[in-house]
Amino acid sequence: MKSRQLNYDLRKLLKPYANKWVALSRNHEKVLANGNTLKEVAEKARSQKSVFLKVFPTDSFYMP
Amino acid sequence: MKYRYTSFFPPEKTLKWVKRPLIKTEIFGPKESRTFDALIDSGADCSLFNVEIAELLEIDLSRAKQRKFTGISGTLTGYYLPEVEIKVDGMERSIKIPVCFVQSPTVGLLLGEEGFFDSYRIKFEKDHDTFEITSVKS
Repeated sequence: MKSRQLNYDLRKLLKPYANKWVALSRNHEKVLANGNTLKEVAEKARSQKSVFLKVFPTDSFYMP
Repeated sequence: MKYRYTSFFPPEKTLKWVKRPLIKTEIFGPKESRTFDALIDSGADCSLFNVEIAELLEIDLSRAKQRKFTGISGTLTGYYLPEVEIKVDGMERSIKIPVCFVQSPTVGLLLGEEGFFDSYRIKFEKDHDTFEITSVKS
């Protein structure tokens, strides 16, 4: 069985970005851009390969 | 392929973290694709994507059927497309799954039962901090 031994720890990285969309570097070590809308974030991060994520509040548990 | 859970900031001081089964997933529109972190959600009947993703990728929702969804925060209406192409990081091929696009501040990308869990066998092994995704057609 192949394994991707990646263990992304986003605790500190995403704490300031509650309720925002963020563009993360592919290795999830940097926030390349953030904003209130996905379009805005995609425009800011246009030239960079990134992974987009909607960040939820850090003061509550997530329940879709 | 095995993946690790992703750690998020815990809402209570008694906890070290909250762990979620997130997977990098490429979403294809008619002209381009973008990569997102998607949450694997076996409790969701089908996959739900935020409607902003359709807008960004120019996915046409004008002919999408409306579907109602009920969750913990009430009922909302989404726009259902029977086939959206996605490629899960580490998997050889892309697949097409049904997706409902919803306007909700609490939905990013959820990979749910219909289509996604039909295409992949998912094993959650949280005690090992891993989950495993295997194509059922391989």
